[in-house]
Amino acid sequence: MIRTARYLSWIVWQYLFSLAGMGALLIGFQVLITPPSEAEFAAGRIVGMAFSTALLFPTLLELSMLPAYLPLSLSMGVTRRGFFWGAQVAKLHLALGIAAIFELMQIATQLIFGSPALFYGRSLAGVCMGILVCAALGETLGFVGMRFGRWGITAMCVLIGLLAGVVGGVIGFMSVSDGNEAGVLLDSVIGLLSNTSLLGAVVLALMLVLAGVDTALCRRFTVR
Amino acid sequence: MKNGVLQAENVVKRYGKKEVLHGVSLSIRPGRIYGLLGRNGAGKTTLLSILTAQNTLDSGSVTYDGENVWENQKALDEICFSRELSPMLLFGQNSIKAKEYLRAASLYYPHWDKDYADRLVSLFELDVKKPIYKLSKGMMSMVTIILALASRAPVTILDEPVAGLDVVAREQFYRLLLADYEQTRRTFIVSTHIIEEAAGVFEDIILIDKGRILEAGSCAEFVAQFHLVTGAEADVARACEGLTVVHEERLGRSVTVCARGDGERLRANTAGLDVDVEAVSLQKAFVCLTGGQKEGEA
Repeated sequence: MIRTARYLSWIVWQYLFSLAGMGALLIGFQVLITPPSEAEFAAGRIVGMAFSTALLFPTLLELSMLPAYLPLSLSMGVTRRGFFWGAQVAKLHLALGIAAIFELMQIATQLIFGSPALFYGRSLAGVCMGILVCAALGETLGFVGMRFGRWGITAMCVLIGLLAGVVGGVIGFMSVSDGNEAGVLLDSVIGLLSNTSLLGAVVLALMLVLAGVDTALCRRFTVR
Repeated sequence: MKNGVLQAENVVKRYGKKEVLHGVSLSIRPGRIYGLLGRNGAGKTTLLSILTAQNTLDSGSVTYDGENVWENQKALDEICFSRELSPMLLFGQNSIKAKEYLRAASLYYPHWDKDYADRLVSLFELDVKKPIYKLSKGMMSMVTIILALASRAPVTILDEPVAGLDVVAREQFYRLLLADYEQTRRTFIVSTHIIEEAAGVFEDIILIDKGRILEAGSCAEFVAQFHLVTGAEADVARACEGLTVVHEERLGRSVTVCARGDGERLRANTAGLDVDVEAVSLQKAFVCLTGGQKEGEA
């Protein structure tokens, strides 16, 4: 487990440095193109993009990491159990790293554009949990892909799309019920993310289910 | 009790309904160089990946030092199975660089010898900054050879290590293998179907065909059992009395058979007969055994 954790964490550090670089580039670009009168909008754009990529990247990175590094690790004599636990450490490392980059980007926009932070306290904890769930989803997608190939991933993506549709529908319904569809949408997301106990319970349950699926798929994995 | 023996007993493997290994049993003793020989699709890689717990088995067992190897980190730390690299992964090209493989190996193999790996990289003039998909087949083979040799694992397994290597690099590999063996006396299992060049290296051979072990034992003793007898049909038949004819070729009225059995008996049989008797190479013996039927039975 320790060897896998060290190896995958080395990979994760490379991802994180790349992401931090991309974040810095995004902020620099916005600084260059934004007139002072629109500073608040630039801050919103940066945090909005950082929020969406913070959820998207862990999924994609975990999804691409497993098919490359699971066979490599097993072919070098790692047990499946050892790989699985090492991958959990790497997943946590990735999720926390991305959360840290997200927070750093928020702080940078505050300092540069003078706008207040959108996510703080409970909502920031919610973002972290969201990132963790997305990383877990990416990992499961990776295992499904390794076991069932591209068709497995396609089926899984459809399933995730449906679930995301349900969640999106709930958020949309919350917005409409508040009376202002466009303006309150973000508030609804923040509201949902701020409900730490509910979100924590959902995240924990989801991660346990995904970990169960991962364990089952990893246990009999064969290197070809 | 520790004995360093890697053992398979009645290993059965199925892919779907197709059984590819039929009750394979073998014992790999420490401090020997084994050649695993078999035709394409004979089950060599499947067997090796089961021996190293990289693949599952449907029944039977694989043990190292008397302990089951499946999910056994202690046992797997003593075994290195350096398999052929693939230029493709699930989502496109294998863009992992050769140096990343070496770094992974340095973390994963407990006996890893970094200095030796660096020396081999220089010797092979391998560009480790290139991703795997950009390497030629020969260069991919070099990566697997470096991984295997520098792993310093007590049981080191190489799957088709010379595939894609030119003749100079193949010679270089066999020299390195023998030098390493001389120094470390660790166990090597080399799977190959380029037999002639490797024949002088193997101490023992394991011959696998259609998922069954045909032969396992000393290479020299195995080869010594085979003889090529050429002459008129009647003379050849008399010469081969008491021996097993495993292969037969006809050229006009002349017949050449590959006979298996006691050399002393053959010499006694051939006294006064007009037949030529030749020694058989490992490759020829392998072809005779696995190449199918006697001519005319096709």
